[in-house]
Amino acid sequence: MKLAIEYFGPVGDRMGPGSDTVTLDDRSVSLESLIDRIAKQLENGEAIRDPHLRIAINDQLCGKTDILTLNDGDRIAFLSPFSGG
Amino acid sequence: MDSANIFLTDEPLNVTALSEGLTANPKVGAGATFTGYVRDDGELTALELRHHPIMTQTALEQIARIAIDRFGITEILIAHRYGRMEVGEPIVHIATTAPHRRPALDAVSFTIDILKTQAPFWKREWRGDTSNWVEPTREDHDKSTQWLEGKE
Repeated sequence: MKLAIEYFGPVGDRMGPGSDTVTLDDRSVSLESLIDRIAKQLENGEAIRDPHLRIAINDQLCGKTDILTLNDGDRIAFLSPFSGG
Repeated sequence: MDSANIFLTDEPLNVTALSEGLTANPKVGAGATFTGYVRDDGELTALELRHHPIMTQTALEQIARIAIDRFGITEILIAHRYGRMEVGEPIVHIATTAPHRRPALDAVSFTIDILKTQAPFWKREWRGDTSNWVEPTREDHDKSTQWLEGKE
């Protein structure tokens, strides 16, 4: 199963331009496990372990204790802390 | 006009034009507004706001609906810029109407405080050719938390 990884805000500078693609075997994972598996496949993967980042799957924010059910082609977004207004 | 109006744009905000029409309802007894501008700190040359193409609109709609339900206001407008802005340009404009002043004022305060930490925007300050991202402050988090925990 392939997942598209997107970055928004300062974390995008640390991860480099554009998006990434990772592969995952399990459809059902905890958010913590998902972050760990993605981080291990990326060149600057440690940056996405920042506990201040929020994670969204297909544009829906995840809770930190969520158990996720993933599908091929899902988009996983790592979002830096928001600073609007 | 719907009671929740969201306006997300990379064009300059015309604050006067945006607020027109909000007080047309005869049951409205109060209107309140807040406008945030790009502030000159002596070195700043521009401010860049980035947003999420889908989640930002959704978050602003949710914040507006919560403000309507929580404060019983008649109408709310949230207008927010993205892209590059010069010193003095409006970044955000919030306007509310209500039967009485307190809900109109409180809803504006609530909306800007929540928006700062709950709407997906990322702010970058430019000084010439160099830039730095702006992190939300402790005060931003505290204000947001106070509203969310009902301690306002």
